[in-house]
Amino acid sequence: MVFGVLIGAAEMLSPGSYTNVEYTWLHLAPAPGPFPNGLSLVAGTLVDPISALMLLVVTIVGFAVMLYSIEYMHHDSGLPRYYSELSLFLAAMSGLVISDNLLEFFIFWELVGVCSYFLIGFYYDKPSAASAAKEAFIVTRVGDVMFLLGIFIYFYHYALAGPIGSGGWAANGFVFTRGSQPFLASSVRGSSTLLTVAGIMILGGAAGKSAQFPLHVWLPDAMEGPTTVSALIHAATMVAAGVYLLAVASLFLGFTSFDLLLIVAIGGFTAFFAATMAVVHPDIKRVIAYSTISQLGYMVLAIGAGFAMLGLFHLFTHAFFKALLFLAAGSVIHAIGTQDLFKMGGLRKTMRLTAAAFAIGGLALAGIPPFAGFWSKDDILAAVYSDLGSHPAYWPFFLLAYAAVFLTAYYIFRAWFLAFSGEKPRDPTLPEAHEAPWVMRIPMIILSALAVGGGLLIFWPSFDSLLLYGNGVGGIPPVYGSTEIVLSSVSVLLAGGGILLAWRLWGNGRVFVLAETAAAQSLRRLLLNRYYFKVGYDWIGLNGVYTVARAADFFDRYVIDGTVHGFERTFALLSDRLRRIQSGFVSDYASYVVAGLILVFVLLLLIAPYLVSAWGGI
Amino acid sequence: MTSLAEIGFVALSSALLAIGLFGILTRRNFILLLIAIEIAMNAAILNFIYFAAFSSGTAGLTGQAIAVVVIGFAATEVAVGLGIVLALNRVKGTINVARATELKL
Amino acid sequence: MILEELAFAALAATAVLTAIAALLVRELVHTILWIAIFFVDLAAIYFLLDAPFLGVLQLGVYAGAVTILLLFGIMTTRKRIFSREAATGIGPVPFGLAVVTFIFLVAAIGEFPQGSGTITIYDPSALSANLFNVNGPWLLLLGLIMLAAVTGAIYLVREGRE
Repeated sequence: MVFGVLIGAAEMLSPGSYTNVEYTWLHLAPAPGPFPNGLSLVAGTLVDPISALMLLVVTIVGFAVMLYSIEYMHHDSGLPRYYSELSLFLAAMSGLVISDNLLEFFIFWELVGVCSYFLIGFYYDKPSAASAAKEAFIVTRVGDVMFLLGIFIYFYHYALAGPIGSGGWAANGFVFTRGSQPFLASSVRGSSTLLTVAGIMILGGAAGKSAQFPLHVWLPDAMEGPTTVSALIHAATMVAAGVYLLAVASLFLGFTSFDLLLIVAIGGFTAFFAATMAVVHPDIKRVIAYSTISQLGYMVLAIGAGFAMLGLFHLFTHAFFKALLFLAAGSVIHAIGTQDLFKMGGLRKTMRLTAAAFAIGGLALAGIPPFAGFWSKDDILAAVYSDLGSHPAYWPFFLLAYAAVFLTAYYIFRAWFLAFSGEKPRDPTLPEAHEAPWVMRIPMIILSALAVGGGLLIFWPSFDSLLLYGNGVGGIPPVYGSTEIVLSSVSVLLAGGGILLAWRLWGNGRVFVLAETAAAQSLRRLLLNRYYFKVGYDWIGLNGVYTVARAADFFDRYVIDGTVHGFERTFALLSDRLRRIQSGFVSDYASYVVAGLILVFVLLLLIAPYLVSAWGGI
Repeated sequence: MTSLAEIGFVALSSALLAIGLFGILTRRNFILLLIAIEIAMNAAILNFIYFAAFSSGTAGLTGQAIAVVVIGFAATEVAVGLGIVLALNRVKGTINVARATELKL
Repeated sequence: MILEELAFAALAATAVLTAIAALLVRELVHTILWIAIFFVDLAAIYFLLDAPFLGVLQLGVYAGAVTILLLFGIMTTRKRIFSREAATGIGPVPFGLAVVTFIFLVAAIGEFPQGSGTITIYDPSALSANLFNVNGPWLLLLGLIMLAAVTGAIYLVREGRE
């Protein structure tokens, strides 16, 4: 962790520098085909501004979570397993961010995926956890397959391209950069159909990992894992990998304009879509989970609009306040043993630090200045707005993302008011709440500080210049002018309105009961059921995949197995008959000898002469 | 000798062979099996002697010589067979070959 | 000639009948009796074919030694010599096989070269010359094989007596 922070800090102090150490582990000689100059596969580490940024996030959040887990998980019998999986998870993520080529990236990507599977299914004896783990693994797998296909297409298409060394990209191990040149995006950004498909594939991979629409279903269910794992997955590791992939791809490989529009659309839509689902949910962790999906939508939106570094900046700040929210929620759960918001209440009195931490996280998430979320989120919105002139097609998604600001503020403070305000818990059977022990408090304090001050880093010139990395490729963040200030003010006002609404409806122990009109109730049901996506996927799974599987099973069972068993039965029958020949009676064997002898006679004396006469000799 | 005898001798040896064969295939007692084999062998010896009698020179002599050898063989074979009978009797307590079914899978 | 043919017919019929009887009677000692008659009968046929040496050999080896050996086998394996053998069916398949073999062999008669019609009488000394001079090495080989077989038989009988 210390090492990671040091690298990250060093990178920040000397912006734009590159450190690349690589080792070729497989080299294929030049041969005719798609790789006429040969093909190298390398394993290397690359530290450049984006990986430095990510390293900071991963190591700091990882450290906080590890520290927090000491107390949070101490009662659990699977502690060694937990820590080894957590360490592997963090190591994989760190490896991912410093990979210098897509193949290595993919290896770590898969490692991250499998670790998330382990950790979500940490309570594997709980059926819901086991199935959530499977769901996460399978849904992200859909993305992984697309990602791999995307890698192949890029490898194939760009095999000879690039300013790197001699012989093209393939011969040099597909590394992202060499020297100070961002590689492909600037020199050979193409717009062929093949590249569009490759971009969609990469987007698919990122969407699976980062839980973007329509592959978002696994993330809320991933709440089955320990809260600490949720914090890690949501802040620093799993979902960050998808965004990081998109950023890397947009900086180094480049997307076609269609891909970019698609990315913007998915990002903007997801930001709003996920926020609506968070509005009604009673589970404290799931509310935060939806907010993650929503915030990831912002990042994707930023990357799609061409501001990869801003997306990563939002990832950076988001990591801190999201980890903070989760750790605070974990502290609540640790104290009272339930995740149901409607059972909580009045916790502010007994858990002052937790309440404060959650509030800080909430303010940062809602985008209230000067908390971290404000700077990054408004940067994104302003940047996208500045781009609207040249890309009018982005308008609806910009508006959706803008509207999501209001929802975000509303739902996160709904959760806060429900949990912390009021006089006493709504469910009197809950145990007496108590503040978390120090081991859990320290990480929350660290993260609170970062959630407050993380955004202010942009006023530090070195850090700000980091965000300018990839200029000309990633787009230039707008300079703040009057338009941007108006924009920010509106968004702050929206967020404030959201908080106010939450206060009016839920504050001080109030419980807002939705009007019993059919429309309102059906909307609520729709949101609670997450737009029936899971049902739909289950339906697809059951009816589509299961039918195919049934057909395959039928084919396997009756055609292949049938053939095999048919052979088997035929021969079993035959051998059963034949077995009787082996009676063990000497006389029977003698009979066969005699019968064979007679057969020879018949052949030799009767049939052979006939054949000879018929064919005139052999 | 006329053709009747010609037919008769061959027919006799054929019949004896068939009877021996039949005995080999049906009898369960090992001694009866041996006897059946002897009958079949005698059929062969008879054939040799018969054809030797109606041949001449070395060929005929050789035929009779083979007959002599086969008779010797038969004696040996009975001796060996008897050895098997005794061994079988000791191992199985019977000389019924239907009980000796170790060849069965 | 007629006399000889009649004698042959009688001897042949006796041979067939005794052979069948030997296989079908259920008293094992009776079987030995029948087979002894069968051997003697065949020896007579050899005499009829003017092969007295072989006839004597048949009498000595078969009617004498082999019969005694078989009887000995029965005596050593039975508690009571006169005990009946369990009936065994004739069995259509072996019977059919035997019949088919018979038909085949008889059908082959036409294939044989016609004999001279006169019976050649061989001098036993010529026979011995043929046996020991011309075919001597082969006889030696056969003798060795038979020796091995007899040794094996002795071993079989001996085994387990320790």
